[in-house]
Formats: sequence, C-alpha cells, structure tokens
Amino acid sequence: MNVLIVEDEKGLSKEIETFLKKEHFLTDTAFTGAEASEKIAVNLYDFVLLDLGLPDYEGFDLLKEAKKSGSDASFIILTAREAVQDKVQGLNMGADDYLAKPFSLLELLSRMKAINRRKFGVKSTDITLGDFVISLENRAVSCNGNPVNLTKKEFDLLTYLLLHKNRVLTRLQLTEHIWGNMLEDDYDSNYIDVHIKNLRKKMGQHGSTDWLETVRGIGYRINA
Amino acid sequence: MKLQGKLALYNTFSKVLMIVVASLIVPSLIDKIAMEHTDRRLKLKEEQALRIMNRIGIEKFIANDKDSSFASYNLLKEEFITLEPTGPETPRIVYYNAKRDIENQVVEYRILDYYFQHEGQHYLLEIGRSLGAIQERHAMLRSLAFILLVSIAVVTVFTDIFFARLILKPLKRIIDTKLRDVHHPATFNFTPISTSTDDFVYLDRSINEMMRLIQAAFEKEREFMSNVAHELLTPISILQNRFENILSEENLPEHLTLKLIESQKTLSRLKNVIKSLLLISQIENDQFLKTDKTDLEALVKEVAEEIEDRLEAKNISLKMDMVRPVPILEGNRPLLFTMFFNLINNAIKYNSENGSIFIQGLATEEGYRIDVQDTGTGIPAEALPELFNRFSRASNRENHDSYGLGLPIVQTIARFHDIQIKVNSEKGKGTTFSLLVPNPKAIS
Repeated sequence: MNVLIVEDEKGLSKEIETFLKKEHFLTDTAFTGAEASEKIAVNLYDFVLLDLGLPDYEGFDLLKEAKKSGSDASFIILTAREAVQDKVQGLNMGADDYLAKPFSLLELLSRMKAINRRKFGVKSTDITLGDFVISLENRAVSCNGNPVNLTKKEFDLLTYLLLHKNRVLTRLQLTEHIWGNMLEDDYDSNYIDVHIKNLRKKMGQHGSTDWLETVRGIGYRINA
Repeated sequence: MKLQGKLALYNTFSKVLMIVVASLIVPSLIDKIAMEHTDRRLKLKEEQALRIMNRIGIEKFIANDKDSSFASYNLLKEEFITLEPTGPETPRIVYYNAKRDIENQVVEYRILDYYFQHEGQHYLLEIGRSLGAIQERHAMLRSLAFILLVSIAVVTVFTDIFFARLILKPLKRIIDTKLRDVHHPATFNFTPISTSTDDFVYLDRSINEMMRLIQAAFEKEREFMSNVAHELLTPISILQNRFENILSEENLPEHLTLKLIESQKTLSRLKNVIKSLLLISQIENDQFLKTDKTDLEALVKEVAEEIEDRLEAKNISLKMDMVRPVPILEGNRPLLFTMFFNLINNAIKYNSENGSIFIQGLATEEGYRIDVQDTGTGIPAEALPELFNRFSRASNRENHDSYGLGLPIVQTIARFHDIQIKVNSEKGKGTTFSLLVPNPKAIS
C-alpha cells in the first residue's frame, strides 16, 4: 500500500513514516502543498495523510484539486486546527477521515484499516480468536454459537487490542482510544483495568481468555 | 433615578419656585401699576375740571366770598371733587392716600391736590377716587394673574416631560442596541443611531469606535489562541508519536519502557491542559453552535452510562430521579455532554469508596434545577469561591495530580448556555452542584 504523507513539520512526518514502514506500507513524503500536488498528480496512492496547515497551500484546496483530477486515494485529514467546521467541511469535500493532532499512531493505523475494509467491501469481517468469533460488522462476539454480551466500551477495547495484536498497548493508548476526545485529567486511572477485568469475566464463562495478557506496569496485549 | 425623571423633577421644581417668587412680587407690582394708573386718571380728571372752569369761569363754582367752597360727589362716593380758596401756596400737584369723612361716611381715597392761582386768588382743587374701588380691581387682577401663572406652569411641565422623553429617546436606543443587547463583540451592530442631537451622535460614534477596538482585540486573541494551540500541539504531536515508535521497538529494556510510559502520561497531561484551555477559549469566543435540541434526561443518562466503569472502580452507586417534563435545551450537545461528564466525573473522583451519587431534577419557579450530589469529602467554605478559577488550588483538590480544568470547563459551558451554577458543600458530608436552566425553552 502506498501512502503519501503531506506534512510540513519534518519531525512529525518522519515519525509517521517510521511507523508506517514498520507496518509494511510504502511511504512517500511531501513537505509543501506544491510538492504534494505534483506527487498526487503523478503517482498512485492508496492513502494521502493531509495536514491542513501547509505553508503554501490551503489543505482543503489540495483535497479539492485531487478529487477533481480523479484521484482514488483515501484522504485522512490531520490538523491541529481543531475546529468543528473544519471537520465537517473536510468530510463533505470527500475526505475519508479526520484526526486531530496530537493523535496516536495506533489510532491512525486503525482508521486506515477501517477505511480499507470499507473500500474493498470485505464481506467477512469475522475474526477468530481462540474459541471466540468476533464480528466487526455486527459488533458481536460469540463462542461456539453462544453470544457473549459485551458493553460498547468492552467491545471497542477488545477490537482495538485485536487490531493491534501481538503489540503491547499502554493503558493511556487504550484510554485515549475508548474515551476519544474527552478531556481527561485523571492520569493514573485504573478504569481500563475495570474493563479488562469485566472482559475476562464475561468471556471466561464461555472459554479460555489466555490470549489476553497483562504486561506488568505497561498495559495489555492480545497474543494471536 | 432616570435622567428623564430628573429632568421632569427639575422642571417641576423650577416652576413651583417661579410661581412662589411670582406670587411674592406680582401683587406689589400690580399695586404699583394700578396706583400709577389711578394717578394718571386723577390727573386727567383734574385737567378736565380745569378746562370746564376755564370755559364757564371759576366764579360759577365759588362766589367771591372767601369762605365758600365747591364739592361734588358721585352717588356711591367712589369719586369726589372739591374746589376751595386757600391762603398763599406755591402752585403744585401732590398725590396721597387719605381718609375723608363725607356725609358721615369715612372712606379711604387716593387724592390729587392741585394748588393754583387765579386772578390773584389761591385755590386748591382736590380730586379723589375711592381706594375700595381700586383694590377690588387689584384683587381681580391678582387672582387672574395667579391662575394664568399656575396653568402655564402645569402645561409647560407636561410639555417638558413629553419633550424630554422625545429628546432622550436616542439615548435609550443607544443603550439598548449598543450596550445592553450586545452579548459578544462579534454580534455588535455598527449601524449609526439616527438622531439630530450632536451629543448622542458623538456618544454613538465613540461607542462604535470603542467596540471596533474591542473586536480587534478579540479577533487578535482568537487568532493568538489558535496559533498557540497549533504551535504547542505540533511538537506534542511529534513527541507523542516518537514515544509510540520507541515503545514498539524490540528489545527495549523494561526500565526504559516504564520511564517512557511515565513520559507518555506527562505528555498527555500537557496535551489535555492545552486542549482544555483551547476549548474554554473557543467557547468564550463563540465558536460553537447552539442548534442541537438536547433532551437533558437522555443526555444525563448517556453520561451515566459512559462513566459506568468509573463508578464500578470505586464501587459507587448512582441514583437518578428527574421530575418530568425534563426540559429540552437548544444548545451544543457535545459541550453539554462534557459539562455533565465533568460534573459526574468530579462527583466520582472526590467521592469516598462505596459512596453514592444522587442526580435530582426539579422544576422550580426560576427554572429546571439539576443537582449532582456526592457523598465525598466536601470542599471547605473558604475554597468555594475559588472553585471555578483556572489553575486555582481549590479546583485542584486533595493533591490530585492534575490541573483541575474540569470545573472551569463546566462553568464556561454553563455560561455559554445561560445555565446558572451553584455549589453547596459541607466538609465531611459531601458536595452538591446545582445547575439551573432558567425558563426552559420547550421545544415540541
């Protein structure tokens, strides 16, 4: 998959690039709007990560231009200008998603995966995990045909861990994912632990949850 | 007191004063005028009498006999005329008031005495007019003047009030449209108020000028906040992503991993402080719409569900009792969500283990009141006024490792929606936050 990172802040561009490369994406970078415009016109990308605050270009113009020229890349807007109208405008102009800076790279990755699922119309979004089958489409979990009732947050937590399986997710990363934009001022909270405990209890009644590992002092990981 | 009232009061006062002064001066003035008028009349009569004497001869009135004299009165003794010879006198005219006994009746007269000489003989011509007749006329004139004065005063007081009201109308319009109805500089109306009074034009222009300065300052602050946010959030963004990348590196020693996680938390705190300040500033700058019809009961329920895990973590029970109908508020739903979230979150944070939270909705006379009551440690009375101040010690209770922008955000959102917020707290017993939604706009 080809990704164009349009970001004038070199440090940020580099971190995104490092991360995506590790996730086996092919990456390209543009630091100015002009450069980005040229690259979009010449190359075929699956994703364009677009910073709105470019020095020489209004990000929206770039998006409009690309859409006009028939680019079928998926656009994810990255911005620090967190204004509600920006988000609405961006999505109306054909952007596929919108992430406010600072964002987690894991969040970015899961948004990209979600876009891919939509784009390629993945029919079976069922994932098998031990004795369990998790349906992303129906937001349901079952074990040997028996449904397991999870709350919305528990389900989000499970799928986020599953999406980033074999990687330790810190409590903070999990908190940021399930609480989204709530401005949290509790940093040593153990609310995530409550959810994990409930997940283990509910799913444990149906089958083994050995795949869910607590990494002491750091967070949680699903091994699969 | 209103300017208009003051003007009316002043006008009335000055008119009353004028009447008092006039009623002191006018009678003597009228007397004086009347006396002069009487004297002129006496003089005319004297000239008339002399003309008659010249024509028919003085002897017709008085015989050459030295003791004889002539006297004539009209029937009601209002006037008299006498002619008598006198000893040598210098010819002159004298006016005076004196009583005369005429046919056994004493009447006060205004008298003209004319001493003159005719054919070597000295005479005195005396013409009198009864003061009673004169004074009667004075009294009538006086009361006429008084009535005229009072009625003019009354009429002018009313016209003054009317005129003052008319003239002060633009002032009221300036106050209403330029000052009172302006809730935010962005909504200011620069259209000049039409008035022919230069002072009001000047006032209007000055307010407009001042508002332009304020608008510019607001715009600057808005821009500044947006720039600051961008400038601060970008490096935080880089750091956050860098930490994430380092964390996912293989063979990272455990002690460094733990340090990195601590750094992540610190960074997250910094991020939240900046985002909170940005949020407050955006709300204060009116950058949010208030167009969501929000069912407050459903909203509070949603928040309670969202926050369930936190209740569970401290084993806190939450009870809700909202008297229906719960108002539907036209506002910004995400912001209202944040407001209730922060309040209930606070009630959990400062609650004791196994405590409880009671959310009560009541229809009161002033509006719909929602109380969020906890069984926590309470807030000392002296800390209450500081509670909503940004970065105050009070909003950062009990060494919680935070900058406590939760309550300032609550207050900003409440103010944005015209919701009044009050706190009641008793040390050791708990705290109650009351939100009052005044005159709820019912939307069907």
